[in-house]
Amino acid sequence: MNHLSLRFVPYALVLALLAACGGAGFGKDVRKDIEKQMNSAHAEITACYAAALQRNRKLKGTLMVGVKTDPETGRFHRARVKSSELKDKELEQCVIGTIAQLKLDKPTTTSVEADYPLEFKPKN
Amino acid sequence: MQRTSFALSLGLACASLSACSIVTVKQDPFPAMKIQADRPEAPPPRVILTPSHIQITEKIQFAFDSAEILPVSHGLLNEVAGLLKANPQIEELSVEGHTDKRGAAAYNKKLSQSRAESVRDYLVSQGVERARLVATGYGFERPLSDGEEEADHELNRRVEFNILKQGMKKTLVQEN
Repeated sequence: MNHLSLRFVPYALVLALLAACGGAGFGKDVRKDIEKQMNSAHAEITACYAAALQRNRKLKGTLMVGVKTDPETGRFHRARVKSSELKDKELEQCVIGTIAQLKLDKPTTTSVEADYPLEFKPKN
Repeated sequence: MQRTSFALSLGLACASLSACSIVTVKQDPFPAMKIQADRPEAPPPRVILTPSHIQITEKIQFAFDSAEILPVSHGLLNEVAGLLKANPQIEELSVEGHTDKRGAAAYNKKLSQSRAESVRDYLVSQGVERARLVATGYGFERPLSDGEEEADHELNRRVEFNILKQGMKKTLVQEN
């Protein structure tokens, strides 16, 4: 290996490590897993919304939920409201309670944090 | 120089690796999940504007033997106020209080007047111009039923909103 190539080895090493680190728990598989788990809660979240519409038939808007997974179990152990246009605590708690029960099929080595928007709109 | 650079890079790599194990990886936002549910049937309107009066399908509730409007009726009166604000062509509205036939006529007349004034004042507090409202208590002078049953008394105890004066309804039309 010539002198010039040697100079770049450490930099390449740093980049490789950073890329590897960035890839941990960040890949498409994890993203798909999160989406799959969220979709599995669709019916329950819809039930939360249907109940809320009984109280307020004009209720609609976007709820941004922040989720953080536990690296060992994959559980969505820190689900919280990041922003809400709903202004309905009961609906927000119902949704958060449902999401907090979710769990990744394949737990990641690192904790994964994601923002998940939920758009609520009456059918009729 | 090269050794220093190598050591620095290695140090950085180690730091990155150790940070990697404790850092939380932040995901890009996900596309919004659409949640849709059936809305319950809209309740029938409680306040209806007719050419001659404002009809309310619920009664305004007062405390017993008092002109104090019960909070349960605030929503209904808010709707009346909303309707008046949306219909400025109603220039003068008579707020009329009526009682049942039990009790002294003079007392009933005074009570119905106080109740009519209470309703007027509430509407004013909700943004309706005072000059548009006339409060009148009729006591038992204008019963809807002459019967003696409790249902007849209930029917006669009421507040009515009759339009005394109205102009043309103005509608905004956009010019081409």
